[in-house]
Amino acid sequence: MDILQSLLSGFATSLTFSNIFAALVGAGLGIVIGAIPGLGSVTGVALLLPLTFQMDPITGIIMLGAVYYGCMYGGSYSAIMLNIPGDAPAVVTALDGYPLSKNGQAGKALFTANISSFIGGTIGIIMLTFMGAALAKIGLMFGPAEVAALVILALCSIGWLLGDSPRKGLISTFIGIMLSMVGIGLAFGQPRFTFDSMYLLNGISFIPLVIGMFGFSQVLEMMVNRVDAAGLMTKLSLRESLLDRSEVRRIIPVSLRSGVLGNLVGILPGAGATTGSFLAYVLEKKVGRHGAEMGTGRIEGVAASEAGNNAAAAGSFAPLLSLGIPGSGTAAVLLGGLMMWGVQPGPMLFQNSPDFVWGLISSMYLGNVMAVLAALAIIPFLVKLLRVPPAFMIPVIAVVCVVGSYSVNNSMFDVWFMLGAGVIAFFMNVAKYPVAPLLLAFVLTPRLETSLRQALDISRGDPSIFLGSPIAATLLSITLLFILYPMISKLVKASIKKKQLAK
Amino acid sequence: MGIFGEINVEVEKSPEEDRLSLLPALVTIGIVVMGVCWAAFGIFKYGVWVNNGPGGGFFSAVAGIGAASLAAYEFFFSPVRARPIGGKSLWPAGAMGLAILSIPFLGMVLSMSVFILLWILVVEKKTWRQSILTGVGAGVALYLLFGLWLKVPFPQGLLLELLQ
Repeated sequence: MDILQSLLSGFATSLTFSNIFAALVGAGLGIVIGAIPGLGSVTGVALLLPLTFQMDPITGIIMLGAVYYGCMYGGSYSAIMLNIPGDAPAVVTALDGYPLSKNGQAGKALFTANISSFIGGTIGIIMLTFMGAALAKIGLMFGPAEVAALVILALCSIGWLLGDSPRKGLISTFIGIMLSMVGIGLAFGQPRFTFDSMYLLNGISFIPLVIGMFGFSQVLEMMVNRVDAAGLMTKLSLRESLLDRSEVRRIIPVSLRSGVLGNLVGILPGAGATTGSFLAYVLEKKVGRHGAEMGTGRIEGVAASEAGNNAAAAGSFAPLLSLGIPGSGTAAVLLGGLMMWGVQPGPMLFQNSPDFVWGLISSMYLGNVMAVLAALAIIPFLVKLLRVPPAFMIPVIAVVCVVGSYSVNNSMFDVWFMLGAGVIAFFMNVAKYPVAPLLLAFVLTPRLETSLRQALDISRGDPSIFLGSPIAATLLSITLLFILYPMISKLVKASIKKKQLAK
Repeated sequence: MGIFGEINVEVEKSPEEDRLSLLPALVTIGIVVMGVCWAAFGIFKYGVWVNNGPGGGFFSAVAGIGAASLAAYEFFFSPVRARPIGGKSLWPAGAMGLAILSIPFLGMVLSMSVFILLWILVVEKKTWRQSILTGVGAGVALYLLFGLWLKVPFPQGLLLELLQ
């Protein structure tokens, strides 16, 4: 009851004309920034943070919250329409979003992304409202051994997830792990595979890699399949883009499941929205009715990824507010904003600054609603954008790839790297090696390396640390089940067939 | 299907398919070479197991051996599947490479505008009007969005410096 009263007082603080206007502007800007390849939510919030210096703190944080949500919505747009994920979590959205787009169902994919983002975000905010402190404590139970086990679970699911050939999926996963080794290793501080290039000391930059492998390779692909691309563009209309009742029924349970899982992953320090969206996708692939068809253009795939992603974004606020530990890069920038306004996040925050905290939480509801309204409103324009013929799309997308990869670090090296990655990814596609497992392994491996090293440092090299922790042991058991399940099910099916033949 | 999948029998291929199947084979060989290099560096240079824990080369070695062995299996036992890609598919990469090379002289915005203009005019064979409108429009949009609003410090280029 106390929580509800506090939330209502938060709404009383946040629901003013100027705050609603700030949320709307923030959501719109966030969607634009999120949709531009190379500029994710961290950049969006960091860019607009100085603008809020002059504002009332509540209005400022409402605007930044809306920018954050807007970015999460916008990130899926370029993934669905152009196969260029705006940020890392959108890599998973592209797996089903772009095939839907290619089948002339871009509008449906965009609607699905928006609705499931809204559901996931709302689940995340509701859980934050009622269980914020408790969730943060759960997050603290995840030490290095538990995080390592979680990432191992995620990594082991990749190879089985994508492509016609699991073997090629595994090879792609291994390439991702190898590429993630480039740069100075966090555990030992030694430069690895840098080939004496100072540009590689910080490792391979993710955004140029993802823009090249998804976006620029797509430009090359459009040169090959330009007739098909032109044909599908004419099929699009707004009416065909709307979801019918049966499709809404299909995505709601997926969004609810993925939202809860994504939120739980989001509260883990360092796990982030990418792991949230990816694990939600894996869960859906395993338990969903149409799991086997995911990856070929199913709205369930888009819904799982987007709900997981947005719920994880909300989840990252729980450790930030309750413990002062940011759960993601964007949360770290927001922490800077909070400190700038003289607010010190941590266990005493709810006692010391209740107006601010509940204003912030209520602003997240406001930001989420504004973001979905703004996102739905621009779908008709986006659908029209897809009607642009390939003759114009090819050079424009190529330029977006160049500018997007340059603007991450303002480096021409990144531009050349993007170009090379694009050509290599195109060759990989021709040879039927899926690219998505490579990118997911690339994101997850550094986290695994650091956590594994820390866990074994703590136990002085004793691997039983993974079995001593109930959470780590459970996660590793699930991993083992994931690996053995296809073999066991094959054996069981064979034995049933044998028995039937014997009869 | 298991990890190693089923071994398919090689089917008779047309000369065109034979020529194209070289590319997937080269990709697979490239992965084998990369895997061997990463594994060798991981094992001999960075160390697999150091101070009771995984060394800097642990993951390189595991992933390198995994990639090289699976890709070698792919090369020898799996049929090479190819699809026609056509000679034009790499044109955007070549043209964009030239455009990037021109950035130190023309600057980012002008280089990209000229790239779009020339591509639409020369490769797509559209009218001058369409090419100029798209090229200039894209240049203005790039400047307003990235240069003015987001303050991305684009390379200005020698040309602008000379004009200034």
